[in-house]
Parts: sequence; C-alpha cells; structure tokens
Amino acid sequence: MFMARSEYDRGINTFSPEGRLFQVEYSLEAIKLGSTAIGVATSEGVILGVEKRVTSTLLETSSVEKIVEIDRHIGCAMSGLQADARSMVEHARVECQSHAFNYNENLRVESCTQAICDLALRFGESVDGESPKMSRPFGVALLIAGYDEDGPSLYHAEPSGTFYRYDAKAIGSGSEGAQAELQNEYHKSLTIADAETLVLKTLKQVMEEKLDAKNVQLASVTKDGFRIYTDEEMAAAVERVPAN
Amino acid sequence: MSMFSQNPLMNGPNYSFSETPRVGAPEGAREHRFDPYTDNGGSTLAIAGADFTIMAGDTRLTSGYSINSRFHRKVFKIGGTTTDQHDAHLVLSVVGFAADGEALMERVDAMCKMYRYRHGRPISVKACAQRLSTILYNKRFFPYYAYAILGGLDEEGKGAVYSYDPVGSYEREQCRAGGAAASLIMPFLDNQVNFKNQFIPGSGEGHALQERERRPLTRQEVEVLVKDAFDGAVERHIEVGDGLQMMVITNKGIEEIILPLKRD
Repeated sequence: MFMARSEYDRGINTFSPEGRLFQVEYSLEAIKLGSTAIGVATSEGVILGVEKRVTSTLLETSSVEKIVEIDRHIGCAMSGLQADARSMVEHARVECQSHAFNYNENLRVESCTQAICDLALRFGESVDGESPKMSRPFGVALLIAGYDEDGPSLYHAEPSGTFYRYDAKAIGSGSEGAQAELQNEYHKSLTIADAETLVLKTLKQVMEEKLDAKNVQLASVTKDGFRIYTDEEMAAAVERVPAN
Repeated sequence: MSMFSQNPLMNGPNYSFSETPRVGAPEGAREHRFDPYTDNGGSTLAIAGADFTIMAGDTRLTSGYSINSRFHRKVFKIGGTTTDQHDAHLVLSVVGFAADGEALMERVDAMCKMYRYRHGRPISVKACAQRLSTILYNKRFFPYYAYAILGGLDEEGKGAVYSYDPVGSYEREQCRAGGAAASLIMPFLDNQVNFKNQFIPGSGEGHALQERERRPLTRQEVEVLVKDAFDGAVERHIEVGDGLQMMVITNKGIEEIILPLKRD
C-alpha cells in the first residue's frame, strides 16, 4: 500500500508508520533557516554570539534582539522563529523567579533548560478544560548559558524537547561549518577573551555579510552574571579578530 | 464529659463541630461553631553548634489534662530517599497541634523529595527554610497550627537553625525553644548559649561591666544543656514530660537519642 508522506504531515501528534513526527522534524528545519548563533563555555564563563542579519541599511540594528536575559545568572541566544522564543523565554523567566521566591536561591541552569524543554512538546489539539496549547511545535532553538553553584555551563535546547550540554555549540544556518570550526579550535583552557575571539572568528567564516561591530552581538555569563556587550565593547572585540 | 477540656466555652471534649452553651440567647437560637484546632502541648528545642545541630522535643502528647500518648515524636528526619530516612540531612520539629504538625512534616518531606528529582541534588537547608516559609504562608487564612523549627548544616558545614511562627515568619538563629514550655526554656538558652546577662566579674561598675565573650559550645555541652532545659521544663509544666527525643545532625549523618523524662 502506498502512503504519501503528506498524510502524516497533518496530524500534529501523529506518528508516521516509520515512527516519525514530521511536524517536529520540520520545526528542526526552521532553525536551519535562522541566523547563526554560537556559544562557547570556558572555565571562567560562557560567551554567546549571534549574527544579526541586517537586511536594510535603514534597519536600526539595536532593535534586532537575539540574545536575552532569563535571570541575572542565565542568558540565552536564539536561532529560528524569534517570536516563538519569546514565549519560551517568558516561561523560563517565570520559572527562575518562582524558584527564587520559593527557595531563596538561583535556579540551576540545567533545571531552567529542563523547564524550557517541558514547554516544547505542549502542542497539538487541546482538550476541553485544559489550558490552550501551541498549535505547532516551536520553530526555534536556544543556546542557554548560565553560571550556577557548579560554575559555568552551556545547553542547547531543541523544539523536539531534547537538550544537551555542550562545551561549544553552533546553531542556525551556518551551524555545520561553525560546529566544525569549533571542534578544531576548542580547548579546555580557553579564557573569556579567547572565547570572544573564537566566537567572532567562527561567525565571520560562516556569515554572508562582512562581519562588523553592528551585525554581530556578544554576551557573557560569568560569576558576576549575564551581560550583553555594549557598542564600545563590541567594537573592541571585533578589532581583536584576526584579519583573514 | 471532662471538666478539663481546654475550651472554656465548651467544657467538653474538643470535637470540631459542637453546640456551645446558650447563655442569654433567645429560645431556639443556636450558635454554630467550628473548632478545628487542638493544642497537644509539648515542647521543642534546637541549638546550632559550630559543626553540628541538635534538635530535641519531649514525647508527651496531651489534650487538656489528659495524656494521649507518652511516646509521640515531634522531631523528624526529612529529605532522605527512603522511608526510614537513613540518608536524611535535615530535621524538622513541630509542636502545637500534632495533626497539623505531622501534615506539615509530610508535605515538607515530599517537597524535599521532589526537589531531589527535579534538580538532581539534595535541597540545602537555606532553600528548604524559604520553601517552608512559603508553604506556611500559603495557608495564611487557615494556618497549620504548628510552631516549626528546621535544623541542618549550611553550605559551609556550620550548624543552622531556622525557627517559624505558624504563618511562615522565619529567622535563622543560634538556638530556639518552641511550644508549651518555650517561655521557660528560652531565657535559660539566652543565658547558657548566648551568655546573655553574664559579665566578667570586677570588669567595671554598672554599664562599664564587660560581657562574657561568646564561644562555640561543644556537642557534649549542648547535649547537657538540652537535658537540663527539659528537666527544668518537666518540673514546671504539666504538658511536658515522659521522654526526650534528640536528633544530632553532623556531617556523618543524623543520630537519634531517646532518654527518659519524669512521667508525673
């Protein structure tokens, strides 16, 4: 019997005979269309870097927000449908605040990532009396960087609801090339400054536009917390990237 | 009908729902009331040392002038992974209304277990202390009638004691007495643990007198203080007696010690 693949594309929670959930797999494709985002963890902290696609010279680049704060000690970078990331980040922020209220301590980075991933599979037809759900999977992947009692850590969360911890990870359209570059260049003794340069150098290789201080954004999470780099710091960091 | 009920209005056993005597009320008028709480007496005590905490409570359970039990625990290990709590690292003592106290203990213990599942590690005494406060405050308008004390070791391994009122106000302290004989035991602790009103003889006149300098007490000294405190309370308070239950929390685990008290 011939079964068109499209038959199983429709039901959002329907397995195909081969045991696949096409909508979830397609959501992973949406991320491959997104701009590149990179995270590198060092012993001192984590550096997040994103490419901002400046589609017009009239675009105010500061309005492109692809790195956001979740709590004082956790930040995240995104690639994919940014609007979807908003509701995930909002959920994570509430989760962090609720934990701080109830337990008088920071939420651990892994627990925060888990909380975000719990949200990822809440899609499909909602049942009567249940709170309304997303009609489709999220179309965005997150790089979650944080600093907790165990030190710095970096997590990658996907729309499928799975997450893994990484030393260095690239997501988005240039992720394949970038991940290969990180694989070659990463070592355990990187400093924060080394990580900044590694992130920018890697972004530079996979970006279509020429890298400058306006079309990339860096942020760091250290023991002092999450911080997005200012324009001056961005200019200085871009300055340090080797020429070729 | 017992004459010795605690409820002066009812002068009978403490059932939750009951009719009160009609005094000067018009014929046929009835006042309904709901008395969900009983005071089961007893006392608790906690003292934090440099690297240990001792939590203690007597084991008498009373209702008015009656003794319902001579061995009923008020001090519980919580936060372990098994029913016997052999790997527990926190101790919760509850005094006031026994049913509420035990319900509270069960809830905090379940919360500690959930914390371990969710975050992959045992809850710290500081985090548990804050959570216990929110649990109590969440029942602000129908409180657990229980005076809780939470004990454990903090992140630095120092003894930690957190004391609560029934609606969740809390404070970390060096020592605290709770329950029926709290007002008898607490001044004794102020003097013997924090050396209040102890001055160095001949160090000055009036306000110039120098206070005796505080020093951390040893485990042996604290154990003796706890026994003395309860022996004194038993002597002067009818709701305290029968047995003394002590939990000693160190980095090696929690040791339970049961000793006799006067049963009169």
